[in-house]
Amino acid sequence: MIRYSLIRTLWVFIILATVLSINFILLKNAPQLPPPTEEGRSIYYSRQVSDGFMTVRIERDPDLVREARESRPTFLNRLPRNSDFFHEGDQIRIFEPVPLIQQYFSWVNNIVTEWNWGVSTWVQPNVEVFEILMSRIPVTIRLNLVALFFYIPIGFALGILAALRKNTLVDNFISVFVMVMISLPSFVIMTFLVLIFAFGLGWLPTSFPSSDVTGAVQYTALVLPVLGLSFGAIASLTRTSRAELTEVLTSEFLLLARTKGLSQTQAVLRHALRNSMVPLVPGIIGSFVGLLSGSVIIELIYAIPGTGRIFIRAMTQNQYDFNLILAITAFYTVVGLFAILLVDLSYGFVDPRIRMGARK
Amino acid sequence: MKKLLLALSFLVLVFGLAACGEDTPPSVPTLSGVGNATITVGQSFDPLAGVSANDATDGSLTSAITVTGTVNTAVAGTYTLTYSVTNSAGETRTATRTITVQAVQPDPDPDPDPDPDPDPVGDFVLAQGFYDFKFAPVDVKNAFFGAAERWLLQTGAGGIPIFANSTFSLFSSRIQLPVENFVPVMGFGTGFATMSADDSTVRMDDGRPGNAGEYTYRGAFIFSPTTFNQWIADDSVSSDVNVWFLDSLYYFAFNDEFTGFDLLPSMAASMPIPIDSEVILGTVAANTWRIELREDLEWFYHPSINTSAFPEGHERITAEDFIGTYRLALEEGWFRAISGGGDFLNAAQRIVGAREFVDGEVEFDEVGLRVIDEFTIEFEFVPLMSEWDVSYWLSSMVMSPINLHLHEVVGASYGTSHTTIAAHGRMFIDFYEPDSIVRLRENPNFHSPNRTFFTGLNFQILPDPDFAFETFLAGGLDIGGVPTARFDEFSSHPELRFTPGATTFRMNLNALKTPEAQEAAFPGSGFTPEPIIGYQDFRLAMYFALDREEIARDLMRTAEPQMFHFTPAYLVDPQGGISFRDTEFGPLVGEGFSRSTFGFNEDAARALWMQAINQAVADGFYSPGDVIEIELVIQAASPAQALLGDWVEAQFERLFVDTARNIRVEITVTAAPFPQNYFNYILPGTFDLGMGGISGGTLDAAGFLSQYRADNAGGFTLNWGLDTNVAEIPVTYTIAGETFHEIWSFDAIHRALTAGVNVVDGREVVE
Repeated sequence: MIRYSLIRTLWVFIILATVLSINFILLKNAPQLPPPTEEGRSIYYSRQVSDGFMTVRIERDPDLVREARESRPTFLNRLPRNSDFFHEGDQIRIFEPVPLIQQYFSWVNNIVTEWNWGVSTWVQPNVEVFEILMSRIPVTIRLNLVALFFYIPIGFALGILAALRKNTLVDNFISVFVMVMISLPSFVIMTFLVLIFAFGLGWLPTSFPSSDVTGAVQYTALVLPVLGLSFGAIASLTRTSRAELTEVLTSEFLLLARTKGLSQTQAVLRHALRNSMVPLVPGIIGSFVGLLSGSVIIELIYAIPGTGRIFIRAMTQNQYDFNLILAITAFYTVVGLFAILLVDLSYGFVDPRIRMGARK
Repeated sequence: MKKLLLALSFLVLVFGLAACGEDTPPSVPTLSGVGNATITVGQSFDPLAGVSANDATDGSLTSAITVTGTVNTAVAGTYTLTYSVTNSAGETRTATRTITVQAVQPDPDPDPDPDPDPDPVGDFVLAQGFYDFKFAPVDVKNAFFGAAERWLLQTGAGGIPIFANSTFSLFSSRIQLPVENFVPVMGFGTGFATMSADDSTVRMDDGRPGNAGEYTYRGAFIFSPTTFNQWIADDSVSSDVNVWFLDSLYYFAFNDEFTGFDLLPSMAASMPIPIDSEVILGTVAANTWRIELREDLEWFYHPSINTSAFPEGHERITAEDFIGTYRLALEEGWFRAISGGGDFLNAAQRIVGAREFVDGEVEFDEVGLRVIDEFTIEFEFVPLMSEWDVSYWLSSMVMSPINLHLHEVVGASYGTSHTTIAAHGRMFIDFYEPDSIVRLRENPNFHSPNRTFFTGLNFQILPDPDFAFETFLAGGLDIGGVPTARFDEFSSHPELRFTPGATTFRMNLNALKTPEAQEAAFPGSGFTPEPIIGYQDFRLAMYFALDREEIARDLMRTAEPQMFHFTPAYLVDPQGGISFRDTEFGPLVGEGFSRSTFGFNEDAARALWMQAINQAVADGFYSPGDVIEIELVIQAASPAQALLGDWVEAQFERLFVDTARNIRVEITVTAAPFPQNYFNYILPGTFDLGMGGISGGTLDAAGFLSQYRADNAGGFTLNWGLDTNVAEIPVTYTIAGETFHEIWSFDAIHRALTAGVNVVDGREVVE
């Protein structure tokens, strides 16, 4: 078991390195275009140089300077792709990109030797990317954990209720609720929730308060985003737990439990529920990752300063904050991969028949 | 009885029908003065001069004459005008008239010892000599600018303007703005506004009422400021925040009439002082200027900053803070110091030795940035500068100092949070949480405490503009930008404030006409341009075919129709504070371009199309039965842009049809995301028509002319195939009581207005 976990953890890092490398290459190859105005372009290239993505040199050869003045396209053809130049009287200032492979190895080198993930270049210039990430993780995790503890009991309760009252009015009502909630994307639900309960009725805050705000609003502000995150998860958990429990309820071992004299409640609580948990618990752990990704859009709607917001900002076209994107990608990848590992290990805990990593 | 009724009905019908007729035959109006005429390039031409219309019944109908078609007096050629007049009986008389505009020919064999005053051709002469209008009177600048803009419209060399994006906003009832309408530079003067009620009467960001006696302006941004180090800030939100906690050497204040602005000293004690000045055209100009600083300037540190290790007297702001900051900014390569237009290297205000210092070729003591004494700094510029040039350049908060002691401690982290900066502006940043809120409070050390009424500002970061507007409507903000989707709901709101946009969206065009010209301009592009766009008549036909009002109001919603290239946001003369459009020269640009309909005139469009296709067929580019396929690249930015593409497609395909020869135009709309529409289509010249628009510095309209130059000097020319260095623009101007009538090229005008230029035969000559 320990050996299995260690090997899996090692794989997490191998996969992480692969994911980040692929992301690095793809992102760096994504079309990146300077702003339209001359002033904007001059700033853009100055920034590229100070960020280490480009180099600058001055060309004073009169023939080349003349050629650059006479035909911009012809002169640009002489330079590496994505280069640019500016006229400065009798000289030209040329900006050329640092080769991708060089950028990649210097990035890897900084991480491996100094654990330096670099600083943000667009979202919060000169701030260490992990500092930014660390400042955002608490609120995102808090929100998702609250949502997790909120949706699990409700989802289970509704699922059990529906399974026990299968094909009754209650079951039908729950099924309709499940269908509606599964079909509606979280941003639609969240928009309605905010419009109705915050702006319409005025019961709850209209946006997430800043961290210096004290009082009840700190807690009431969690209500809407938790609901926004939970509806889909509740529906999904209700559906699967109903299905699992229904199957277990019709199984032979439950019939045996009843025939040996257990009451319906005893049979359900002691045997049916535990057995239906086997596929459900891993699903719940996995759903945490789903909640995290769902919170990106909720954070945008409710103005929550979480990880999702910086991810979206860092992905702004033509202003890619590479270091930040890669750090956030690393965060989400690690959370995702460890969640999968935990899912795999949890099978063993929930169902003693399964032993992860056991010799065949 | 029935028969009687029938007979009566018949009689009524007969009388009724008879009453509809006229006893006398209808009269047809007459048109006179519509004979063909010939003029010289540059001569003024009024299509209605000497033309009259009369009618037997209505008398004089001269005022009812409509003219379709235009005469471009700047470009030699043959122009057809169609005159039309309709009398009260509905009878219409039309007449066509051909106007020939003769070219001005420079002397093919110049006199070896030429006369300093070239012989006039017509009323106008080709401009000759060295010109620099930097210090010229305002009217001269405006006359040249107007002539250049008019030429762009007449030739289509700058594309076809369509609309400008505007913004609409509402303020809360407690805000009392100093002005009703938008004033260039000052906007609505929010910083000078007062409040009729304190914070206890409104809901603050925590959902509770604020404190009595406090007046906090509550705004919102869609994203956070990126940095509080003004030297590396490049986004509007950072600027909007930084301007509150950073002061500047000079600042803009409303003039006494609240119609414009004055530029007044703020951190400076007086206006700039010239050293070794000269007077050019009445303006004092010098290369070296000194600024005396106020002696009561102090830093304000956030209470959580530990300043115990700072040297004594660190609270005072002196000349060393300014020059030390400038030196650090150049050494660090902070991009506001070396790029972006307002920097030390830019030709407009280049500092002696600055570029060489950045390139490591000279020491800092050779740079023209000097401490003269504790409260005096000196700037030595490469170009001659006026007092306005210097004070305007130094009115930016970017040019204010950072706290060098704090920078020594925090290094590159300076400006990353509210505890890694020091303030010298009206406010200081009390609290900042990225993606949540920026809270500013009154700076107790600010030298002019009464400059703003507000006791603080709260800027919430609300990423969704619709929810931000909802928050405003719910009373949570003092300003709300009206989202496009809700514009109709608030369009007639009495308090709605309109901010004119600075970007004119235009239909850019590839007029290279032939594959040979395309190859010469864009070697290896392999693109085949559409010849019809190479005809000026067709470009004008497209200009007149666009119903800008419908496009702006019905399709784009929150846009304003734009028949000109420059919106009312632009000023040629920032010192005067008046938008170019509001000067006497502004409206003249649009003469003959159907100003009452924002340049929309379908009859003119049809007539010009026919002229263009006649010529193009005669030139062998098209033959009967042809379909002219034109690709229109639109910005895939919004559904409104797609609607615009569809509208243009339908309109062009309806108007541009030659039924006699069975030749028609077919538009294909291609959507490309910004800025790929520029970089993949328009800039490399692989397009026929392409939507797009960029804006420039609104206080430097003349500088923005560079974006239209055929030589792509600004690096962002969007229209191809038209030589902008052809002398065909007539300009009349008066300097020192003497009036000149000259023919210029667009490029020569641009350079004369922004730098010096050698002009030979009206054209710019580059050494």
